[in-house]
Amino acid sequence: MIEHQIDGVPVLFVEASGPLRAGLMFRVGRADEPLPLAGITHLVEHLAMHRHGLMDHHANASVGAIVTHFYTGGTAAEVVAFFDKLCASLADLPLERLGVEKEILRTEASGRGGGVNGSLPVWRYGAQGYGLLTYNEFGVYRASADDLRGWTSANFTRDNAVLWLSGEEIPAELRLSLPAGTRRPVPEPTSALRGTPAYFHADAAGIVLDTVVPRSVAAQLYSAVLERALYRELRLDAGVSYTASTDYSPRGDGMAVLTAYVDALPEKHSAAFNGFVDVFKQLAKSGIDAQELEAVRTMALAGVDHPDYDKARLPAVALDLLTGRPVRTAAENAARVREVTVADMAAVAADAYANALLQVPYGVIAETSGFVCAPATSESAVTGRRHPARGGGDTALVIAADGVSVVDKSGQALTVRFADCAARLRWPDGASAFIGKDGIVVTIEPTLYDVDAPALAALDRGVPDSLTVPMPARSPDRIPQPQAQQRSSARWPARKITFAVVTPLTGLLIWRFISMANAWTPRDGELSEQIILSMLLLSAAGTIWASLLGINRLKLGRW
Amino acid sequence: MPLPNLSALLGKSSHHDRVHHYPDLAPLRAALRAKDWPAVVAYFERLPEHNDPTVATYLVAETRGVEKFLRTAGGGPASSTLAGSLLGARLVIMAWDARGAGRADVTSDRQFREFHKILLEAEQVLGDVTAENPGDVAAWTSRLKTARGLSMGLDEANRRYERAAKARANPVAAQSNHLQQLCPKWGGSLERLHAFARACADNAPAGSLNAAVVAEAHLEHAYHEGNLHYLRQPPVLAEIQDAVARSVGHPDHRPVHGWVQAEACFAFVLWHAGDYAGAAERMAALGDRVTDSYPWFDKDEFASVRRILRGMGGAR
Repeated sequence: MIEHQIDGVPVLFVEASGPLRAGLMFRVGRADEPLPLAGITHLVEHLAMHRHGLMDHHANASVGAIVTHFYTGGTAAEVVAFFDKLCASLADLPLERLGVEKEILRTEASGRGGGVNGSLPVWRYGAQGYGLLTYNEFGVYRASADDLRGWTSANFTRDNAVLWLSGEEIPAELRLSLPAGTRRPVPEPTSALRGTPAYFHADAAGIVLDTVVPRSVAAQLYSAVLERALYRELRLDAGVSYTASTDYSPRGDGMAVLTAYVDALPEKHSAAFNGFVDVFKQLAKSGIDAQELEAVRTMALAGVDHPDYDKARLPAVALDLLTGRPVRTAAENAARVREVTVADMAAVAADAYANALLQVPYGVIAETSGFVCAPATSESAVTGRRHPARGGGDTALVIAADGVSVVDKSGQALTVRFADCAARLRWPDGASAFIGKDGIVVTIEPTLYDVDAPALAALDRGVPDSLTVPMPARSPDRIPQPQAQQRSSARWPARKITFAVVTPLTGLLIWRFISMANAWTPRDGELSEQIILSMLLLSAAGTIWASLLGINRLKLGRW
Repeated sequence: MPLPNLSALLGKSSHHDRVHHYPDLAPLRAALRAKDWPAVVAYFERLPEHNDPTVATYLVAETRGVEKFLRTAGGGPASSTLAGSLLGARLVIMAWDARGAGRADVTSDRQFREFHKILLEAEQVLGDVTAENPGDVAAWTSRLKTARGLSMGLDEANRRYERAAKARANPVAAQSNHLQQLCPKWGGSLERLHAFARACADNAPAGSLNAAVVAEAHLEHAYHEGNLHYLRQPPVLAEIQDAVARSVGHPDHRPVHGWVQAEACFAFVLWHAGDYAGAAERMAALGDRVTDSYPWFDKDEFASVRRILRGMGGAR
């Protein structure tokens, strides 16, 4: 692997036969975006690629957590032309295309799932930094031409880029005319967890775990050992899973994220979960078998010895260079693989266990694992004006000068304080969603809470416009309505009391009426006659009321 | 303070006591009474290979108040897998005590909450034990019970049983437990129940206790039908008699831990199947040992059946 420079951009080159392949990587990704502009990097990528139109050689681009990658393959002339056009587009984005590209991005998002580990980032990091990977790209609704120009000139610079190439030689005509700038530092990891190992429940078809360990060859080998152990236990022995796989990805800051996933049919979720936890715990507590280490070591060495090893790892090395990591030769890497001991592996396994976050399907008891429940609610509520739920629901909305909460009768609360608000989504129908930096969301639906215009106006003062995302109008059937059933169930306690009062009172009235009517023989129009008459009417009304209530309660079987 | 020994105070030994069944358990009980943790460890270390440690674990688990000792003994479950395994087994018993023996519909919400709470703790303790020592068959057997109590389903129970069988070949206590899960009342089926029982008997060496699960399976089948006359059908009786011949009736049979349970089960099933001679033989093998555990929940029934069978034996 040879290091060069073209127009101030560091270049990694590997000599290889076959067509020229090349990629330009910038140190900016989804984890670098502010939440209200989530997706802005993707928008820049689309606009930058637009002028290429339909190409007869391979070219594409992608946005990851911390990098944006433009890559291509073809003849020397095609590759040179691709990067010329790309750099020209980055200097002058075709902003007239903004509206169209926004629509294309919305279409792309609707067809793309978040992946099996899509929810984990927000639970681990909250609504900032690496946690932003969980969110939809709703920043595309907000991003203006100025936002895009600013984002491009700050990030798509020659000092924030690395080019990699593999082929017979570097084309002499290759130019990368990019403006000067600065290398972007890797985002600081944040945490939304109060302790680990932790778990949370989700509507998912399998068990997913991620954990953060120091980046090392041992951690890479541990990932392979974990995959083999999960496959053996859950696929071969227990037969509850089809897929059992792990992934090892450097995070860019000297740490690596290890992800493990097993699938299972709903009726086998419990077995898959327990088997998963048993395997993971056993590796952490009884260590790693020497034979297993040798098996994965052999596979890793076969990878390093492969003639295409350097060519295949070019994008990964480019990422290392961008994040200031040392670039090692294949021989150095092979030596590092050979040096890993069982003790190194045991240390990684213990670390992996201690930092684990587990996503469990609904319906599976997860306390058995001894993991702590990841926070799904806030520690406190704001104090302010209460707005009860319409239709007598169990929750209430609290709006204060410093934040908003939704509280329920058990005392649990979801709170977003304006000072810690990462973004506010706002719909034309008056609804809002406040997203806290810890990932907690308070949704205010005027149809669900008894909240008036002045209270809604007060919300606008809490969060600055720069954090507000104007969302497109929702179709009427997507706007939630209070449920009629909540009304009747909320009124039942009152009915019970009414019944208990009305029944004896009616009895008393009837008794008084009979005794008075027996004792008195009033003349027409006398006051006491009117009293007796009204008592008669009252008794009749009371009897009807009491029996209606009684029949109703009998039907429900609730007393 | 040593744990009170009621039977010693009354001056007579209890015939349904586990130590009476297996006198070699006496040092373990003495060690528990003296709160001598090293002696408990030594007992389990010296337990001969032919004895399933699950039976000795039951003795500990059935000792009232022992959980306080186990939580601290030898650094507690955090530093000793044996302490964890014994504590887990004790918690499982405590959970079922808290629940009460009644059917689900007569158990109160409070009882269920308590049951659930204790089982969760047991499962946490036992999960750590099996992670550190996957070869602890007693812990896997206890985990079969927690899986059933926490309704984890058949797949998880199967997985746990397989792990128990990996920890110890032909684990009788685990088989007997797993058999319950395979009954229709716990989500299994009669076919799976009998197939499992037959596999247990077929895979075990001659003279071992495993064929007793065949009798247990037929008994559970009879309970499922609500009629013990099921046992009197000639093919069923023949299979039970064959199970006796392969296990406690086999010349290679040795009285390893668990044999009293196996003999008592055969006696019960043969009695209800109408094979009085066979039942009398099993009763004779039991001698003066009395059992009040599955399937002899009624101690008086046990005593009267034994009396009748002895009378028959005398007449013969």
